[in-house]
Amino acid sequence: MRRTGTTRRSALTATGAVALGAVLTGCGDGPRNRDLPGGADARTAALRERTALRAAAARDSASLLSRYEQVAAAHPLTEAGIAPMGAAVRAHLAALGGPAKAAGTSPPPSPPTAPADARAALRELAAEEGRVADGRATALLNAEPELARLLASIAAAGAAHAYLLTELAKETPA
Amino acid sequence: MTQLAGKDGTDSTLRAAQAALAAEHASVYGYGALGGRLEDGRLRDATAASDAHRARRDALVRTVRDLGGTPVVAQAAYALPFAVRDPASAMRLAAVLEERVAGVYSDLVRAAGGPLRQDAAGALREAAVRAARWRGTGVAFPGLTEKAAPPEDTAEAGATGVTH
Repeated sequence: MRRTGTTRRSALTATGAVALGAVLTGCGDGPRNRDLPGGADARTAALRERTALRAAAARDSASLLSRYEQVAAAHPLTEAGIAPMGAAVRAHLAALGGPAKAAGTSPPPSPPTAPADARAALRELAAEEGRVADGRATALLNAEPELARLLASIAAAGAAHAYLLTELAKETPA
Repeated sequence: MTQLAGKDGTDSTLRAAQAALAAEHASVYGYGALGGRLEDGRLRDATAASDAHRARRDALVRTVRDLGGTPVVAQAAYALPFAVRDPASAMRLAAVLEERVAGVYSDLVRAAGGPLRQDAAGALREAAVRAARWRGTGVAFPGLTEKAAPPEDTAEAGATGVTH
């Protein structure tokens, strides 16, 4: 190879070019759907459904984000460890078009306060990430292609968070 | 609505499935190349990951056939992005392999509907968890290469070229 530096996408470039082509050209299903026949009512209904799906996904991220904030506030010892994950959840919320802060037009119901024990709090957060990821895995089956791809990525990130939080819990004094 | 929406839909699904299959071939090769540098628990992780990629590869061969295509075959050898000399570089390569397959599976999620989309999302999730295990950290958007912008990826433009 010409370069010796590590770039993720250049790994095994024999196949990389194919995947990159797919990224660059996109599939264009999103915009094309607008031209589908079906009348204004059907289009409006489909649009409403899509908006609702995205809004629900954003609410899940907002709720997760407030859980991260609670755990960090209740257990300052965990703050450094969970900060990167909290930042990822904030990025998810932004990508889903949610408000930059956890409070939205309809704030999520206040979740239960974090457990008094730091390890238990991390385990609970891990379980919550897993639950939300499972929900997204189901929701993406009814999403339009681009949103499905985004939800799949966010769900995958959530599953990775669940793993990392579980590991972090093992290293954290109770 | 989105699944197999005419010939274009089938073609894009087939292309994405072939890309995923090609990436799985490369993963199996890559794990073969790095396994020898790992020991004990990490070697077991790599073996389990390799088995998982073989299973996904075999499933994708069937998927491509079902979509009317001829499954792409593995190449005799693949250019590795960097030399694997020790456990640290082996783990780094394993993470890169997982991130690569995550990228093709996110495209397959977009291109497919129904059970194939579900499988692709599951494969993306597994790859993201394994990548986090190898790196010890996660990324905000696994598989979304357009959203990946860590500092070490500044030479990302090089990814457009096929180097052999």
